[in-house]
Amino acid sequence: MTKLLMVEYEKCVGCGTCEIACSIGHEGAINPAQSRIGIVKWGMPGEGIPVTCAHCEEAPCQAICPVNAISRKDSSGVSIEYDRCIGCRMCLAVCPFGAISFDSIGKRVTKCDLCDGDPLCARFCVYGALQYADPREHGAMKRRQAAARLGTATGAATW
Amino acid sequence: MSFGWTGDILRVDLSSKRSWTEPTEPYTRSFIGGRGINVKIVYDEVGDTVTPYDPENRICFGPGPLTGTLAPCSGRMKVTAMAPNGLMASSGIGGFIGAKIRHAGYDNLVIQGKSDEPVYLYINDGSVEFRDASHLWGKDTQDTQQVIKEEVGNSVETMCVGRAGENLVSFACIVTGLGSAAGRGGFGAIMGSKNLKAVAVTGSRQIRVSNADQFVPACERAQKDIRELPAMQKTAKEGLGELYSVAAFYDAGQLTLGNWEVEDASWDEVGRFDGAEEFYKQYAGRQYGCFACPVDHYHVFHVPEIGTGTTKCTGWMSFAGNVWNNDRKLMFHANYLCNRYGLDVTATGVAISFLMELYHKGIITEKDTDGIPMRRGDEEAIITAVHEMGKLEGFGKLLRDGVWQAAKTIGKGAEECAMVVKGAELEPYEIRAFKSEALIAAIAAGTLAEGLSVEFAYLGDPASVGEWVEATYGSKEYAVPSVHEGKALIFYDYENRLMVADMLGLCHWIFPRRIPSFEIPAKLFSLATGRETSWEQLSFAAQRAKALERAFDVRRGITRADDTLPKRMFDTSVPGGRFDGERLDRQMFDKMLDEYYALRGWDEQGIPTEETFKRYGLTSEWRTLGEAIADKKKPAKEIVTDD
Repeated sequence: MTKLLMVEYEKCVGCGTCEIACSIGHEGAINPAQSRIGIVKWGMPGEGIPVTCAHCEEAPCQAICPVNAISRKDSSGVSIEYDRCIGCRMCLAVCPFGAISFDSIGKRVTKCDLCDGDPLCARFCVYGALQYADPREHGAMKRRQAAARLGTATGAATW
Repeated sequence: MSFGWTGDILRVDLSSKRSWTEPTEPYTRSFIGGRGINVKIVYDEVGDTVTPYDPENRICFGPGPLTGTLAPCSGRMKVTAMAPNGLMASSGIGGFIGAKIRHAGYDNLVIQGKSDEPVYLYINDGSVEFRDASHLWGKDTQDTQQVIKEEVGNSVETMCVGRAGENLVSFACIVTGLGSAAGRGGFGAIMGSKNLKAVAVTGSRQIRVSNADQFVPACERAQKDIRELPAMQKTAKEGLGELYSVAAFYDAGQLTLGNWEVEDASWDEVGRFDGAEEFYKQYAGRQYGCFACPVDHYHVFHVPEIGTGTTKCTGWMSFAGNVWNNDRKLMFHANYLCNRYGLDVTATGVAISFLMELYHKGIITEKDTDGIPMRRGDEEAIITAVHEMGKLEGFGKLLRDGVWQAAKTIGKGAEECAMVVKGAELEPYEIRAFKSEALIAAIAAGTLAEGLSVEFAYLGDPASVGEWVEATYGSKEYAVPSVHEGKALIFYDYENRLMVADMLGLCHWIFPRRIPSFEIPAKLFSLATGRETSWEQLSFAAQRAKALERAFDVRRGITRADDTLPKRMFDTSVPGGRFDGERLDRQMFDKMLDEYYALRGWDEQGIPTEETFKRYGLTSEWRTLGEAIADKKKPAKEIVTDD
C-alpha cells in the first residue's frame, strides 16, 4: 500500500505554512491562493480545517473527466495529465471537497499530486496535522493511542 | 522582476480618497524593508511643523521581504508613525495581517491624509476601496472584524481600532485577530485621527523567490531548529510560559511593585502569584500562533462570566504587581477589556498604578474618580478605570493624553508620580535592577516594547546566554543584570539585531531572543531576494535606520536631557524581591549613555554627527537634520525631563 496524506484535523492551528509550502513547491512562487491545500477558518484562533484532495478510491473527478486526463498513479495519487486536460472544470464541479481549484494565474485546474511522493505540506507541518503515511500504519497508530486512553480510563490496562 | 520583495509600496491618501503604488526598489538598498522603509518615509515626509494628529502625519505598515513567505516566524509587521508624543515610534504586530498585505502584492502600506467621515479600507490585490465605517464607529475590535468579514468575505484579515482609537486616547492600539496588537506607540489614536477605523486585506498575488530550490530546504531547516529549541518545546506544550509567567517574572525580579513606588510598599500587600495552573485548567482553550509560526504559544481563554479572549506575558504583567493584584481572573478581565477597547495594556496598567499612588498619597480622592476610590489592588477601581479610559467617560478623560498630561492637570506633586519617558508610559519592568533595561527605557521612550534584553534571557538560561555573551562581547559579566559595564555595547548591538528582524519581518521572540545569531535570517534573505547579503551588511543597514530615527526626534528637540528616567528610578532602590535594595546609579547611567552615544556615532548631546550620516550614506537626509540643528529649533511639543 502506498502512502497517503493523512490529516489529523484537531492538530491544525491554522498557521498557514502548508499553503505557502504547497504554492512554492508547485508554482515556484509564494501564493496561498495557488495552493493545492487550503485551511478553512471561522475566525477563532488556533482552529483551522485543512482541506485537500482525499485521493478517493472511486474518484468523481476521474469518472467525470471527458478526456481521461485524470488517473491514479503510485507516487502522485489521483492526478491530472495536463497534456490531455482541456480545462473544462468538470472535475472541479464534482469534487465533494472543493479540493480542485481553477488557478486564475496559470489558467488551469490544479489539485494535490502528493508532490510526487514527498508532500511539502506534510514536511512543513510541525504540528503533525498533516502526515504522509501508510493509511494502515496510521490507523494502527491511532488505534493504539485510543486504546491507551480507554485502557487508562477504564483501568483495563496497567503499564 | 522583483524577488523577495513584491516590488510595490501601496500609498493611500484618505483626504482625496486616492491610492497609488510606488516602487519599493529605491528604498531596498539602504533600508531593506519593513521598519527600515517606514523610518525613511516618516523621516522624509513628516515635516517639522506637522503635529501627530495632523493629516500630514504618515502611518506606515511595514512587513518585511520575508513576511508571508515560507521563512518560519515571518508573520510580523512593524507600524511606524510620528506617535502622539510627537516622536517617531514603531510597534510590532503579529497575527496574519502582515502576511496578507504581502499576499495582496505590497511590501509596505503607507497611509496619509484624513477622511471626512469614518472609513475603512478594503484592499483586494490591486483594488483599494474606501468603505463607509459609520456603522462600525463605536464598535469594539472584535465586533468590527466580524462585521467586516460579513461584508467583504471570510478570507480577509483585518486590523482595526476600538473606541479608544476613535477617541484619540494617546495610548490606543491597533488590534488584529483576538489579541494581536501594535500595542505601544499610540498608533490607534493616529488611525483614529485619520477617521480610519480599519484596514481589511485579502490577496492572491505571487511573491517570487530568487532561489526556491535552496530557499525551501533552508526554511525547513530553520523551522526545525526553532521547533527543537528546548524553550520552544516547553512553550509548545504549555503555551508561552504564561502558565507561570507572573510568578516567574516575580522570581526573576522583573515585576514592578505598584507605581515603582517605595514608600510603605511591600510585596506582602500583593500576595503570592500562585493559582496559574488552576486558571489554565479551568479556562484555557486551544493554543495558537501567528502566521508561519512553528510554536503555538498563545492560548485562547474562555471565562464564562467575562468572555473569550487572550493575553500574553506583558499583558499579565501589566495588571499584576503594579496594580497590587494577584488575581488572574482580574488580570484576564482587564486584558480582555483593553483588547476590546483597543487600549495598550502596558500604558493602561501604568495609568492605573499612577492613579493608585495618587489616591494612596491623598493627592486625589474618590471625588476625582467618579466616586470610585482608587485603592491598591481593588477590582472595581481597576475595571472601572479601563472602561472609563476606553469609552472616554468620567475620569477616563483625564488620561486621554497620557499619564504625563494627566499629572500636569492634577498638579499637587502628581508629576513626580508620572512614570513616563518623553511622554510615553514605561513598561512594567523593574528597571532599577536591570541596567540595560534602564538604558533601553531611557532611549526608546518606553515604546520599544521589547522587554527582551540579554539580561532577561540570561536569567532564563545563564549557561548558554552567558557563553554567547562572552563569545560575542568579551565577558560573561555583561549579561548580569546588576552590572553596569558592557551594557551600552550589548544594548547597541541587540538593538541592531531587533532592527534587522523588523526590517526582514521576523519575530523578535525567536530572532534575536532565542537565536541571537542572524546567520539564518541573512541566508534566508539572500536566497529570497537574490542579493547575497551578510549579517554585517544587514546590521549596517539597521544602524543607518537607527540614525534616522534619532535624527527625526532630534529635529523635534530631543537631546540628552530627554534620555533619562523619572527621578524615582535614580533616587530609590528596589523595594523587595530578588533584587531588593538594588539601585540605578546616576553616574553609571551617564557613563552608559556616553558609551551608547559613542557607539551610535552621536555627539555628547545625543545628536548624530555629520560624519555619522556620511558614513551611512545619508547625505540628503543630513540636510534636513543639519538645518534643524542650525535653526536651533525649539521642541514642537513639551517633553518631560527629570528636572
